Amino acid sequence: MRKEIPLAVTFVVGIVAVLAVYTGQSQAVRGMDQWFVTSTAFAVFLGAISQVSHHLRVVRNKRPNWQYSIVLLLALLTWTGVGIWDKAGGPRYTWLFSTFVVPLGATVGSLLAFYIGSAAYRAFRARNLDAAILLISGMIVMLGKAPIGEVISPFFSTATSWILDVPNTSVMRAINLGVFVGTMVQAVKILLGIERSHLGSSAK
Amino acid sequence: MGFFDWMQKIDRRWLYLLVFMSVAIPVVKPMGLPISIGKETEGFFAAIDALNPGDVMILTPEYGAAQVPEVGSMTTSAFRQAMNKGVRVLIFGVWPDGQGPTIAQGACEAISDELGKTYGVDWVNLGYKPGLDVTLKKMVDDVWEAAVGVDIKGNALESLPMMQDVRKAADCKLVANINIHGFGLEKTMAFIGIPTGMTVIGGNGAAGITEVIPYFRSGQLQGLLMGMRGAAEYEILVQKPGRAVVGMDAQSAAHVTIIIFVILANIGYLLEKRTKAAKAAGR
Amino acid sequence: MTTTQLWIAGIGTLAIYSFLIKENPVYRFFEFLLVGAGSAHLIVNTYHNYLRPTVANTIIRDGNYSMIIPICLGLLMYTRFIPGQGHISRLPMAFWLGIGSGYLLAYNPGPFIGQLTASFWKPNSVNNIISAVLLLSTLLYFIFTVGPQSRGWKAYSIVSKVGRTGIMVALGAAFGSTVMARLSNLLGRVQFLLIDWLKIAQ
Repeated sequence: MRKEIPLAVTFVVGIVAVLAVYTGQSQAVRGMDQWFVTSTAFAVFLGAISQVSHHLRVVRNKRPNWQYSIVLLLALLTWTGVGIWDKAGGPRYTWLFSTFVVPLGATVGSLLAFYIGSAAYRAFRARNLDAAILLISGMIVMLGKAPIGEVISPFFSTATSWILDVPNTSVMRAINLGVFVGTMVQAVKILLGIERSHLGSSAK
Repeated sequence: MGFFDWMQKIDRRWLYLLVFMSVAIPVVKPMGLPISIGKETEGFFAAIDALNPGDVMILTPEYGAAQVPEVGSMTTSAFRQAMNKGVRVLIFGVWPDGQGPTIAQGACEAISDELGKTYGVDWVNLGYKPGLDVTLKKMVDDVWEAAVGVDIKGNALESLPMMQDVRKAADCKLVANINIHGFGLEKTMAFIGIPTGMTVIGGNGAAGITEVIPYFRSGQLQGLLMGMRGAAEYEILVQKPGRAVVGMDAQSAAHVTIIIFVILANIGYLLEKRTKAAKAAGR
Repeated sequence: MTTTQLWIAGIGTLAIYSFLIKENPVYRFFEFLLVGAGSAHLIVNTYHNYLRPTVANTIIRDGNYSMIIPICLGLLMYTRFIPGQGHISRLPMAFWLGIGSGYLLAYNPGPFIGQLTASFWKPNSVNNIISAVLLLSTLLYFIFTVGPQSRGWKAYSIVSKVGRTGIMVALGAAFGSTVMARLSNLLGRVQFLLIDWLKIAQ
């Protein structure tokens, strides 16, 4: 019964959801929606617990860089403590968030720009015709999307618009059609219990 | 060692420095390059401009701290345009990292104070609500239930005058989704736009624009802001040029730098290939 | 931002960028700080925007005690940390997947139908003809069951090549857009450093 009950739950709940929407009665399953959102919200600590237990193990066993795990745990504790103690959208937590999380998060995201520069120099080689087409198309779009492209020649913005309007739109539509079919098939497989990987390896 | 041989072996930290300088120099010394407005941005502007004073629009900032430079000004410009038109704004987010509405709150408060608008009357921020797609569906059925009766500051929705006119998503006239992933706009269309028939417009980070452009071409999206260029064009239309406009010169210089890197690298590669072929033929 | 905030953010930014020169303890410190603080944000947000109002308002104030059931369902996820009881966490997972799959089947076709109708062939311009050719050839490219021994291989290989060329153009556009996105992120930080913090630029 360890796998039959979850499979049955998935099937019943999924069929009810599909039928409710297709018969125009989506309001009838508001209770089920509320249960979904509430249950997922109360499972929010799952990631944090995994993270805390991993880093506590690192500290306990004095694995390499264990000192930084203490930094992570203290940060997690401090931010969570201040955030929960302060009222919603309160000034103390907002100060911590805007001083540390926003700038540091933005900076980590910006590191990719340097790697792209390095990769452009070392790895983006036109080894064959297809790669050359890819690189030329990319460079036209880069110039077309920056104001300097229009200054050099109106060709770049016209060509960029054409590339995005015609080849990109038709190719992405074709790819999205395939992705759509694949997604729908996967959803049906999950509902019917054919796909069971979410239940763990012992469920097969 | 030939010039191109030397260039192949250059330390990558010099490349990092060149990339940094290509962005930093135009920030210090702007070039003032002209920025033309694309039809996608015009569509976004026109969609909000078509609303009447008193109408409510939904604005969903779905991005994290890392994407603020690129799409942050899309949210603030859309908010400014709405406030200038007398359109009321309902903000919320469902994206799992939960940062978008929090980041938007500070920026929107500053604009609200500047324009003499009142929180709770002219705009409300419900904050992050967990549940992704299902929360979007709940917003269509019942906004108050989806928001659990409170806004981002914990105020009861009963105490906010604007919320008396907003019980479900269809009470709003338009939904603007500012996202970095293509499927954020798709979900907004699927769960809010199509069931309610509302106008859907979107702003997307540049990395996702190739995925969402087909929706604009098919007319499913009435407007689309594409990356920092789209944000700059929109700032011009809203008549409040900001960091996106200022950044376009640096964006141009950086693009040219990357293109020069690619061209130089490929010239070196072709010469190397030719040398190897000549050596092999000579044996 | 206040002066203190600017200096903390500025030093943190430079600390992260120091990684580009060489990995070092200062970078590591700020990196781990960010990971911890970032994880906390989702918890704090969910607590204030959903968990506390649900318990305080929906259950205690309004007396809707049936909401205790989904709370227990969510809490069942934590049984995966109890040795031998991890199978209980399959129940909430099954519930979520059921709803998720159901709504996927119900709502996904919406945008897709719009795309499908937009791709119907309208041979009223060269661009539309090119679009139709590229769309069909891209779809055919992904059929990998036609091999050199099959009938129609010659025609298939020509159509497949056209599709692959179209895919390369589209991927090139995606590459150019991605480069643009990453450079925009760097631009934002440079603007912060030079305009907001060091005030070298305006």
